[in-house]
Amino acid sequence: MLGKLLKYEFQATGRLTLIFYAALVFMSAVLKFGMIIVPDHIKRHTMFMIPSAGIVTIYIILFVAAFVVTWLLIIQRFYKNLIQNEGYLMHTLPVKTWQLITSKTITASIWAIASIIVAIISLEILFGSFMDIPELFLEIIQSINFDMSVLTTAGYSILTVFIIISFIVANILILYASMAIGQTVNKHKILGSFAAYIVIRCVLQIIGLTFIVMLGEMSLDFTLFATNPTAAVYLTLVFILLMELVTCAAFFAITEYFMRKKLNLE
Amino acid sequence: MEWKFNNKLPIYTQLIEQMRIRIVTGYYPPGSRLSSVRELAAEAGVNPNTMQRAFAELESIGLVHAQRTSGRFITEDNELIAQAKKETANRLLEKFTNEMKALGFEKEEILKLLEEYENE
Amino acid sequence: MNNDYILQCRDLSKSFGGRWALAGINIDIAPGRIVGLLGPNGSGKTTFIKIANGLIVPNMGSIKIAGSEPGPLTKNIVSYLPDVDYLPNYMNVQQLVSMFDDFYKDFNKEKAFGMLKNLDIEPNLMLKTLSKGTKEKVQLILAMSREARLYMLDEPIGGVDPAARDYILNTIINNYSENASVIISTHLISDIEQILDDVIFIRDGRILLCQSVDDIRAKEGKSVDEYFREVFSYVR
Repeated sequence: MLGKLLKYEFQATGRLTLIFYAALVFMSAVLKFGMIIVPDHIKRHTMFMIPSAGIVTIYIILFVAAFVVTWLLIIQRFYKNLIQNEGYLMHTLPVKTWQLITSKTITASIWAIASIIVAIISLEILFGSFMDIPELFLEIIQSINFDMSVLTTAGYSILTVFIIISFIVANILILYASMAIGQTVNKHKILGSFAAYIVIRCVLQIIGLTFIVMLGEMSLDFTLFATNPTAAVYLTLVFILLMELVTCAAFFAITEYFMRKKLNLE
Repeated sequence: MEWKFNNKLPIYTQLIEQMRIRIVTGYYPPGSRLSSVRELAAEAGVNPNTMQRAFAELESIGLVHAQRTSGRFITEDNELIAQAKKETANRLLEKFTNEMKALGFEKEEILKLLEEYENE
Repeated sequence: MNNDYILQCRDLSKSFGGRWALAGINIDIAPGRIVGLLGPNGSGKTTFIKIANGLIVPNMGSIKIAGSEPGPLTKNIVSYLPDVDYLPNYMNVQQLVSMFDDFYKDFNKEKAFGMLKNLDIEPNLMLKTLSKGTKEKVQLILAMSREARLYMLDEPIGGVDPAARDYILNTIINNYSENASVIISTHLISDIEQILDDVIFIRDGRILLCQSVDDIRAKEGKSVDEYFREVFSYVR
């Protein structure tokens, strides 16, 4: 069932995202092509500035749009398909609520990650060896004078990638939870969702700050970190990953609860 | 032949009556096979359960009989059919004469009017 | 609760912010029955149907469909036609048929295409381009193409022309099976009373009566439509 839901999710969302991503990559190629072909003496000519500025502007807009559109789509797809009238179809399919949420979370995460990858590809096309991310990463690590005994560079990269992914998933689930809570408010579902989102963010902030203060109050023995910076970084990263995963689990549970027990289709 | 229903009267009784008419007029010939409950219900635009009850009633008075596997058949007993026809006729006559008498006509007048009407 | 009933509910109640949309409903529906759920707007018909479909959780009481509470199990055997425009507009008719076929084991593709053909609906048209009446026909065809054990139709004939109405009623009769039941919620009583076994009158979340059509006609000497007008009269 989950597989079937995923199939329909991709079918419904793919058309928009793929067009945008393709357009962005295409524009990058066009721009790069322009930069290569056009000889220098024309580039400096003032008449060339105007159209070239135009194309650059379009590119920048597309670049930003790729992210904006991706996230707007993530929100709109959940709302339209599960909370508006299509909800009558989706919630009467012989599937469990968690399957509905999971299929959307997976699809949303893939598009969110894809948008980042496409952005990187686009920058690669334009600036080539200027922004080699893995090499950059390596330089940062090496500059901190690392002891590689806990994890290899690859290990840290993978850990960081997992953190980024779980951060994205957590954000998606926070959006979903906000909408799940917001839809319980009769006739003001969208307002309710906004309010829920704001409250959730505030609460998360407060929890975060409380945590930090608590850590400060506890007279922990931090000498470990002074002697072994590797361990410090490693533990911190693992801790962050854990926190993100807990956030994901919590907001998945909240979303599932509200969409199953407090469903309020109108 | 059309199915006609009065929506103030139970469908069940109307179905039985209309089935009787179809049988006594030979619209459903004696010995012929009857369509299934569902088909006739769809044709008549009525609930299949009600049609089923009507069938059961017709079976109990012998106008219809069910063969276990081959379905339902109109009886071949022509006497029974003739009797049913007479009963239907009697009911019509009863209705007719009651209404004529309510208008104030006597038996002789009714017979005379009937003859005149038929001669026109 | 008796597993022989297709639907059984006891003291089913639902409130929305202080107002009781359903106030203690008790219904038993046996298999092989076509039942009309009749009542004015706001009487609780749609709330009841939504609860049966697992879209709303009741405050009190219980409801079981073929012995199970509303959930994926019951959704497999219940075919629901809501009273709203609920299908994704960007899909075409053919894709919708495929989707229903994909998710529902009891969906009959041939039947669906047959009905679409009978009603002159082109399968590769996008829903977006169809008129309201045609969309309703599509929704109905999808619901009736399932070989379900319980059909719940919320206003199935409201938005379509009289010829289509006849076709729809004819389809409901032809779909009849002793194992399955149909619940029809509607305002157009005179059009459908002939195909109903029983009717349920509901007002302000309470059941007023539950009787067979023929019983009402025999006892009251009126059509159900007339009787309904009498019972629910606004004229004082």
